[in-house]
Amino acid sequence: MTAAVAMPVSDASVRAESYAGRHRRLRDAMHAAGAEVLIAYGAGMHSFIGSNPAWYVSGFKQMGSHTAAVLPLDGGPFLVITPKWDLGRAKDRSAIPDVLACEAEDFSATVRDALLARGLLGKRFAVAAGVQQTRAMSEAWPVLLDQTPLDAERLVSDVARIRDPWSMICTRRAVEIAEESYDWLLQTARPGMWEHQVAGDLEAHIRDLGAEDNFQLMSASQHNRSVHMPTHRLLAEGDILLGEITPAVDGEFIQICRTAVFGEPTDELREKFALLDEALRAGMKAAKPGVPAAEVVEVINRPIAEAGYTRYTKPPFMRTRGHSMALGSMDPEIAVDSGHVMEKGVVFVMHPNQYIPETGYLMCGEPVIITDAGAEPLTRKMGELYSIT
Amino acid sequence: MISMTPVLTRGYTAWDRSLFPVDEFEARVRTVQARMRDEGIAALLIFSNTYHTNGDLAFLAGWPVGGALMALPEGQPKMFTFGGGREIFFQKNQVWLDDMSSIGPNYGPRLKAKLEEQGVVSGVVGVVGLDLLTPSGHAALVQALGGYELRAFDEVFHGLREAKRAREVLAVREALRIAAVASEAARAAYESGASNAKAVVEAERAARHEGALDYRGLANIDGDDLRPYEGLSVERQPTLTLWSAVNYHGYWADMALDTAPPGVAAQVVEAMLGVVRAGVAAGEVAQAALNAAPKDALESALSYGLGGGIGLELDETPRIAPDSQAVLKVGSLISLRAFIKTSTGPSLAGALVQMREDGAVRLTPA
Repeated sequence: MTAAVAMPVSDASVRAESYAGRHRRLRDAMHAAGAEVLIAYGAGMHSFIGSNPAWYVSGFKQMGSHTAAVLPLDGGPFLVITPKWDLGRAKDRSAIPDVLACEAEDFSATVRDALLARGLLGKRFAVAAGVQQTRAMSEAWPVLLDQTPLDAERLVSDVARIRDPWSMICTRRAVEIAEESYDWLLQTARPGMWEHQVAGDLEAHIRDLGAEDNFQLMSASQHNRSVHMPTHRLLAEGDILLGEITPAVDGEFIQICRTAVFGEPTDELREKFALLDEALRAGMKAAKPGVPAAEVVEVINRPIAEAGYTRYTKPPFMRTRGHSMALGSMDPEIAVDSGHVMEKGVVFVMHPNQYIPETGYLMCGEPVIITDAGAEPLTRKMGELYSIT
Repeated sequence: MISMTPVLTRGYTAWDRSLFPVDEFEARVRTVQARMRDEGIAALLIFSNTYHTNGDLAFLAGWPVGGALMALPEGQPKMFTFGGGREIFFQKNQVWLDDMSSIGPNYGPRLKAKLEEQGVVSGVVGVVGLDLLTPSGHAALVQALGGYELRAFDEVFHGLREAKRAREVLAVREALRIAAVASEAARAAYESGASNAKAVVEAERAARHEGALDYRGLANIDGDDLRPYEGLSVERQPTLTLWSAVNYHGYWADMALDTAPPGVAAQVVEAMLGVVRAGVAAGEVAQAALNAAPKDALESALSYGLGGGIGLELDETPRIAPDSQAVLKVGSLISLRAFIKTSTGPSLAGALVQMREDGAVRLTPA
């Protein structure tokens, strides 16, 4: 382990135990599914709205376009990474010590040779590749493995849905970084700064605090149509600053959604923000184990609809009422057409972010964990309507 | 080949109309349409994937947005996104096309309907970027367009955009300017006592201030290898070796910073500069590099790569590799780079050049 990722011995121990636990649970699931070898593939893009099975199984953030973490039912796991020059980092970071490195064009052949050398070719395979696998790679697996592999997306997602101790350490650290960085933003953002300057400063600050990645939308207007990528707009008094901040620690993203105004908020703005805050709190209260996600959406939408904004509870005036962003699972999605059911211990962001005609788009969202009493915030303090003066 | 931190970054996003006026895109479209007519293509569909860097769609749309672009042999193309439409009002500000709409995730049947609306009910439909689609999206698309002959147009399209237009070169030079500012910010941080990891953060901060859509850095963090920033580190190396890649308006430029005196890497890049020009095979350029490198440098030089095409994608063709027979084309942009590890330590150098028949012109920051 290098200094770049140095961590307390206790954390390192939790990490090692958690990865051993993941492999154990995955093998149990593989056994139940009739699979003898699991290939957890990574397509080289890490996004908070797409799981990464290879990283979840290996603990390694890949640089190249292909990575496969291979977990046999019997025998040790191994990892194939690209490109070749990243082998040193892979050996430092991976929870799987047996690492092979190759160039992207040699990936399929390297995986096949490694399977052959370990006597695994001919076993029953299952592949989990996340939503970011391209069609080209999807079509390569049957050729590479001499069989059509079982689809293991659900298998990995079911194991990963409840975050293990290491995942929760990373999650909680990411929440701390998100909150700390937003507090910093409130102290530093001022009228006269460019939108992209504020966003860039925050991005750098988030990395300074230890996040290896961050997905961020940040924009401001007197009347926002939505949140979007930062532009060269100069921030002005009375602007409503929207921020969707999503830092990641060891691959685990977490998100807060915040609204601030430069100057004193109007009574109307306070009223409309309070409406969304009420919707969020109602949703959190309702999100008890066993409750369908679609029902949570109904609860969130109810006060907004009662205020006369039914039209605005649907796209294009909003996107979704919440979603997971775990490394190995995107469950649950808090949407009208979601089939997911609340489960004790699941972590996701709940966010009734939407457009309101009088004030424009407003953001109000918390990372939560489901308990018997409903969804509890992972933040120290839930968001409010902030005033930057 | 040097790869980069594969993250989804949302930096400065605004259509620079002085750099890319509408007539620039109209000229690009005319070039593509002429080739479509030559090839007997009734319609062209270009796909992009939000998660995978892809310059094809951006070449005609003007911005690296996810979705599909539909071009006919005449008229202005149409742009379709696959999301719920929340961002469409903003995206419309970034692209020059009059007709841009959201058709949702079930895009196969919707694209068929759009083709029919334009009177294209049969014939050859050229497709670019099919490999980037998800397996299910691809299957649904192929089924929906079963009445057409789908013809891969990727190679032809890449050929059309390999030689960079004047305004594209300007965009790359602007990205290079930002990369230079970022490199100096990193150098200043390092020289004032910051760790190598912190220097990377300062480079990113500076790049974002200067208008980068994306910044990606690899540095000698906690060792001799080039690594991405993965978290806090207070460790300082004897030198700072930083490779920065910056995206401005969809266009990439990269720059090497090595605080050590020029080393073997600089000699290797100079050797490549001595032979690189239009009409030369990429393999010949690579061989010049290998001839200039000491024996103990060959492994790292080849492993990290010697560069390749750059523009709307960070790693465009051709690649500068010993086995490459690809001939460098007039007007194309090539990033020459070398990261060398020898017994005397690591060194990094690079140069961004445009191919001319009589040599290569080194790009300077805008």
